[in-house]
Order: sequence, then structure tokens, then C-alpha cells
Amino acid sequence: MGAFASGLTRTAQRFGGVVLIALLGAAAVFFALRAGQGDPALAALGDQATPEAVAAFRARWRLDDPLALQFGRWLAGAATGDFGASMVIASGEPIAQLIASRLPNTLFIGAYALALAISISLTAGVVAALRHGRFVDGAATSAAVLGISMPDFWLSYVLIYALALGLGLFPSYGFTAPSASFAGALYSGFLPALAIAAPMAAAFTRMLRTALLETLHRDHVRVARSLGHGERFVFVHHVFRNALIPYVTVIGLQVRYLLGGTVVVERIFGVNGLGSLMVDAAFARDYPLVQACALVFLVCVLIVNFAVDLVCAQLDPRRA
Amino acid sequence: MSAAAPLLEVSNLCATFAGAGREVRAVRGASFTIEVGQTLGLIGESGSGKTVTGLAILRLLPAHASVSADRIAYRGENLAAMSDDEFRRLRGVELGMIFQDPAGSFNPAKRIGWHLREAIRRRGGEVERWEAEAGDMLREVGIRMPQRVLGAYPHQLSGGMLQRALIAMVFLLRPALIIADEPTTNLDNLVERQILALIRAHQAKVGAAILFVTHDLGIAGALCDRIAVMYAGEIVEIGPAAAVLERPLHPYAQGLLATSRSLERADAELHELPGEPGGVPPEQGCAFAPRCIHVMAACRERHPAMTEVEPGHGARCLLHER
Repeated sequence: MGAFASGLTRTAQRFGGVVLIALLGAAAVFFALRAGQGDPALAALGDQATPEAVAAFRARWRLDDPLALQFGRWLAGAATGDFGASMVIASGEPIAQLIASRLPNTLFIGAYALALAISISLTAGVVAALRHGRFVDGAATSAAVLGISMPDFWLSYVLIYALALGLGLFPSYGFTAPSASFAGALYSGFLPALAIAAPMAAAFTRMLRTALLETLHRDHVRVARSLGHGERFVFVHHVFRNALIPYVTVIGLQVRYLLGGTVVVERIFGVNGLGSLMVDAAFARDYPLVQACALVFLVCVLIVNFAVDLVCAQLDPRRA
Repeated sequence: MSAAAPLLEVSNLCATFAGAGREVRAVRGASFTIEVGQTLGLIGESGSGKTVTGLAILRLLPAHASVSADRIAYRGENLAAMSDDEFRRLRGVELGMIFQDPAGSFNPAKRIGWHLREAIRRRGGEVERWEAEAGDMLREVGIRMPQRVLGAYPHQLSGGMLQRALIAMVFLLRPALIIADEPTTNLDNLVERQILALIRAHQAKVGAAILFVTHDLGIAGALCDRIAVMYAGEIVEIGPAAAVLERPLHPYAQGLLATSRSLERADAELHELPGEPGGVPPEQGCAFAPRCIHVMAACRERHPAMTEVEPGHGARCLLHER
């Protein structure tokens, strides 16, 4: 009972941390944008805009108010889910609507990439550890180093040349939304997901292999063998089960690469997602749109990290 | 399988570790037998090969160790001829082992109850009533609140508690031979005595034989029927416990005993063996020669053979070779 209550407290603390980080992140994005070069009025109206038109634009979006006031106003809206309207890109369109139309694509690509990275790394990591020191291990480890060293944008073009243009296996550009056709989304999303997944899969594989090899030499593994438990039982319950703890922790740490990955890869593959929307918004100095996109990304990463924390606490009783 | 066969018969057991550039011969030709229900003490300084001997018998040494023996027979059956999988089936239920470090012996991610339940399942016992059986066994090893221990994770229990739980886990498999590797080394004196008492009580109850690895001569004298003294990977003396402790034949055993006696009496000057333990033994002659006070010229040239001096009591020393 006491343990349960303290578990609840800790969960509440973690959740409080998530909210605090989201706030700080939102503030950082807000002020960094305004500290940068460029003017949304010029981006929306063009270089030839008259001073009157610019003034009218700035007045309409209240860009001349003190920054703290603008931030407070934006925050109050964001807290209730109202991100305002896009200034430049889709002038006047509610941002919530824009995000709602783009987010599912990005979530799909992100989840797809994560699923690929996890399945590749589980297979490669376990095989490499079981065949430690042999050819398969060397191949998997080398592939992992390669995967970690390859930038996603470069890998994207390699995949397009090899699998799309060369072999014609996948489309090189464009993405079918999962709401339109799930199978189509799986097919057209494969290359972008793979481009994002490859470096993560490599990092996960290395982590899992190292964790498995390290766990193999723990005393309790030898004790389990001394009791006559079978190799499969020992591997599943004493080795793999315990190696999952660092493995899942690393997944939580690497999820931020999903964010960076989608931003770049969506542009290259023409995926109509939140990442490409944010890039467009940033180029156009569409302040509220960039802020909203960044906040959504941030919250997504925090939610995944939060979930990973909970899973880790489940896996490791010493941390619960 | 003959009725006269000893429970365990080990003949010329060697274990070698391939290190970087050099080989470490951790066990060099150990031979001994253990009868049903008997306790053999394996004593010696750290690094003398006691633990490796136990692990080698159970085939639990890491892959870079190579083990050979003229014969390792369990109830007259040659263990060396068995495949790994056949041998695996003997582990736990026939040949069990109690390890030194109870804290590391349990999977930190699983409750004690899980470990004990899986041990009962391994034995082929009734898994449905595992809780009752595990609880009874925990009570037998002196745990008053078994339910609390069954529900606890390893990190929530003290070292003494964990050692009791570990012993209970080994006992649940009902092995006929238990290799106990310094099971009380990390525990305080009182807990040590309690645990030795419960091991003895269990042994009397089920008639298990024990290979008791220890560096403590007092414990060996109290617990063992026979004692084998190891030095630098070799058994240098073996015999009935009383004979070895009262009339040690080998100069190393004599020195070890003198040291132990001087430790027991606070007023006595500490008797120390000359030289450093754990050095690389010489290629030729007796391994103990560099530290021996009775050393003779022949000791550095000829490797002594095990010589029986009185019935069942022998030593590897040129002083006793005829």
C-alpha cells in the first residue's frame, strides 16, 4: 500500500517535470524565433510591400506589443488548445486545423520508424550477442557503426537512388496518408521511415548487444545454470529480461532523433507532415505556426520519454 | 552403477585459463572422492583453485577455460562422457551449488518467490502449491516471515537473508551433492554460525553430501568428515578431518594450521607463512618449495607424488615419500 502510494507520488512528480519542460521549451522557441533575423510581414507581403501595409500587418498580429505580453497571450491560448491562426503560410487558417491534418502523417512515420528500429535492433542485437565473436556478430557490429555514422539526409538519397530509382521497389516521392489507405501508407512510408530508423536501429543494436554480453557474465546467470535451468530459460529470464532495462532507457534517449529525422526526411520524401510544415513555417517566419509545431513535437517527445520512464520503472524494481 | 561406487569420484582434474599470452593453470591434477552423505572440506588460501575445482565439476567455467580429467564419475557414471545437455539435467537436482555472493546470485528484476517457484518447477515439483513448499523451506532455513521474503526483490533483503533464501533455493531441488563455495564468507559471525547449523541440519535430514569450500580451518574441522588442502591448484594433503587437523603431514598444511591457531589465541604471536601466496608455481619440483621451511635440494627437481602415510591420509611431499 505504501509502495503503491509512493509510486503514485513519483509518477505525479515525473508528470510535473514533463509540464515544466514543455513550458521552458515553449519559451525557448518563442524567444529564439524573435531574436532571429527576418520579419513575418515581409515574408507574407513581399519585398515590395508599402510601409502602411507592413504596419497594418504588424498591428493585425499585434507584433508591436511587448514580447512578454505576446508570450503570455500565446501561452494562454496554447494552454486551452488554441494556437491562433497562421500568419503567413496559410494566412488566417486556424493552426489547430493545420496541425490536425499534418500530425497523423508524422506520427505514422515516427511510429513506423520506431517499430522498424526496434525490430531490426532486437533481431540484430540478440543474434550478435549469441554469436559473439563470430562472423554474424562482426557483420552486425560493423553495420551498426555504419548506421550510426550515416546522416539521415544522405541515407535518404542513397535509399531513393538504390531502392526507388534503381530497383523501382518503392516510390521516390510522395506519401499516401494512413487515413486514406493504411497499406498504401506502409508502402509509401517505408523509405522515409527506414531513413529515420537506420541510425536509431544501429544505436539500439549496439546497446542491446553490449547489455546482453554484460548481463551474460552476471552471477545470477551462472546460478541459474547451476540449478539446471535450460539455456533458453536462462537467456529469456536472466539475460534478455535484464538487458531490456538499458535498452529501453536508450530508446527513450534516442526518441529526440525521431524529431530531427522527420523534419529533414519529410522534406526529402515529400511527406505532408508536421516536420515539413514546420520547415516551411520557419522559412516564412510564421511565428505562431513554428511555435505550435515545435510545442507539439516537444510534447510528443516528452510523452514518449514519460512512457519510457514508466516502462523502465516496471522493468527495474530498484528504480521504481 | 555399482553399489560400491562413491557418490563423486574426481581423478586428475585440471583447469586451465587461456589468458593474454600466458596460460594460468588454476587446478593441476586434483583427485578426490566423496561418499554418500559425507562432507569433504576443500581448504586453502584464495587463488589456490578451490572455487575453480567446484565450478569445473559443474561445468560452469567460462568458455576460455579448458577442463580435463582422467575421470569424473557421479554414482559410478562418467560425467565427462555426457553431452552438455545431458549434464545440464543433472545440475541442480543431483549436483547443486551454493555460491559465495548471495546478493549477486538472484536476478535483481525478479522477486525471491519467482526464483523459488522456478526452482520447484525445475525439479518437477507441484508448481500449484509452490508457495506452501517454498514457505516451508524458508522457515527451515530460519526465515520467520516467509511471505515477506517471497514477495521481496533481492535488493530489499539483507545479505544474511539472501544467503538463507539462496540456500533454500538450492535445497528445494534436493541435490545429492552440494558444492558450497564459502557460503558464509560475507556474513557476520552469528549469521555464519546459524547458516552452518542449518546446512548441517538439512544434511542430516536428507543425507546429502557436501563439498565444502572454505579458507576457515575452524569451520572445516566442525563441519567436515574429510579435508583436502589445496595449494597452487594442487591437493597437497587429504585425509580424515581429525587426522589432517591434528597430525598435518604437509609443511603447507602445518603452516596453515599454526597460523590459524595463533589467530585463535589473542596473546600468541601471529604465525605467518613465509613468502607470497598466489605466485606462479615453478615449472619443476614442488609448488610449495619456494616457501617451505623444510625444503631440500630434491624438492626443486622432483614433483612429489601423493603418498599415503596412514590409512586414508596422504600428502604430496618428499618428506613422506619412501
